[in-house]
Amino acid sequence: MTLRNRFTEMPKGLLAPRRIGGPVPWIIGIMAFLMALAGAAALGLTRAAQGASSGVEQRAVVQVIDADAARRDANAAKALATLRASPAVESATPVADAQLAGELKPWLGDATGLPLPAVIDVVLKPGMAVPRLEPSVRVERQSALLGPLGDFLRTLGLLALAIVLMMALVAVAATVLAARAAFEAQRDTVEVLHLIGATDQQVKGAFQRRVALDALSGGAIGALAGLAVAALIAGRLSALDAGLAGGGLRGLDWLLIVLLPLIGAMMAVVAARRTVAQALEATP
Amino acid sequence: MRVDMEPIVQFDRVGLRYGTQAETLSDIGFALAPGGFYFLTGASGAGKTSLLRLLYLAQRPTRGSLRLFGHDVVAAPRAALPALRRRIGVVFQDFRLIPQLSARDNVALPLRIAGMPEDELAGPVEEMLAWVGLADRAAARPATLSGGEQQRVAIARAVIARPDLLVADEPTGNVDPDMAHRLLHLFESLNRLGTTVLIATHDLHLLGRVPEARMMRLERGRLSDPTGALRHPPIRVGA
Repeated sequence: MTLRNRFTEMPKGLLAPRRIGGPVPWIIGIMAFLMALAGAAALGLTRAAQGASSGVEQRAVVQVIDADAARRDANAAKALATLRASPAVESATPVADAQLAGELKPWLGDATGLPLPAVIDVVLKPGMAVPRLEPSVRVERQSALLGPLGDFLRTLGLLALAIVLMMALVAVAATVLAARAAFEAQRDTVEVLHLIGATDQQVKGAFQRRVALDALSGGAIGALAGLAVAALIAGRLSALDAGLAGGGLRGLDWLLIVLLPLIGAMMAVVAARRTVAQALEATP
Repeated sequence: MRVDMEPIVQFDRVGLRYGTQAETLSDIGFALAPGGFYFLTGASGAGKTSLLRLLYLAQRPTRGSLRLFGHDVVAAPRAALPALRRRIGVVFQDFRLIPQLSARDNVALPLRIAGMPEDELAGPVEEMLAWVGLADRAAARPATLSGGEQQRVAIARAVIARPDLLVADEPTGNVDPDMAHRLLHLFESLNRLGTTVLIATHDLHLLGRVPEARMMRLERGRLSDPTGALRHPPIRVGA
């Protein structure tokens, strides 16, 4: 039994061959693939930026540098007391000399005997600043160190998002051009349908079915291929155990990666319908 | 039998111009009565096809008044035209079958467009295909049909919805005399059922086979009236 469009009762193959053909599915498919990848990049970079900047706004490192170990320890104790007494400070934790020496070992080797600074790890309350300390005490906010990296990752994320939007626009433009070409190619059929008594709605329905089949089939294949590649890259990144992975993409992110190209394909279908509607308005 | 009733078609000083060229049709005025049978003749280039295009609403006149089934076609919005077109059956000179569709689907198209349920289509379509002698070619695409077969499919498509007005452009041009006779008989049968028939033709033998038909003649875009058809449209209701 031939499938029918329940809205128009038009035969399925009215306007074009029934197999997937022509450039539209391929163009949409490639666009959807690239949109999925760009979307994954945008989301991944956003997560990495969040990971890089997560908590750093409230964290600071206080260093007491003095070659005289006794004076250094006395100043460090004084600074620690000042910090702990401050209402701006959530916690202040001195870093043990052994831990510091261990972290420096890859660069300095055995640090025994070196005049290492006394280091205090400080967590501030939200929106608070480090209290005033002795001028000889060095205070470094972690946001000053990692902030530019977070900004850079966010910029890359926005760029990837812009690429997603541009891909969607290209997909829409390609579909509009294809719809116009299809309309021109089918102009004789359209005129016959009109002369037999078809309404614009019926003709639009027949075109929309064809364009929707092309756009959604291409969009689905491209989205799934993009999803597979994004999953592969995410797997490789997590294997690197890189801090920049920011914990990786979450469940909703994966859904968005699939939906973005399909939304682009739907936009293309709507644009094609409008194109055909405008072309029909120009007929007698 | 002649009855005074509103014409099904009314042309009044109609002109048609393509672009900036001289008028293809000038001052066309005539009326077709419901149930009438008409022939339109004229030399090639006289404007027959242009006149038919106005009749089946492929385009609108550039001046004058044209009424179809009591509706002013010149002023009607586009949305009103499909309903009028569904009352007109058209046999195009070049058939204009839809190449992607089988003969069966081409013939069924007017019924589908009119909204006939799918399970009610098969009967009338098969009957019509049998009538034009193409029952065994129902599944064939137009490209695989001969010129005469395509013409018969085009005629079947034009008449299957029992139109109020049948417009045929050289409908027997590609068929043998026997089939031409059968097709003319089909048109007469439709005419007896109340369909107004207008056939554009060069075939003078055809004119003689329908003695009660009236003839209009186009000459250089103007209409002449050798049999008085335009002054006194004949009516054949229930004859």
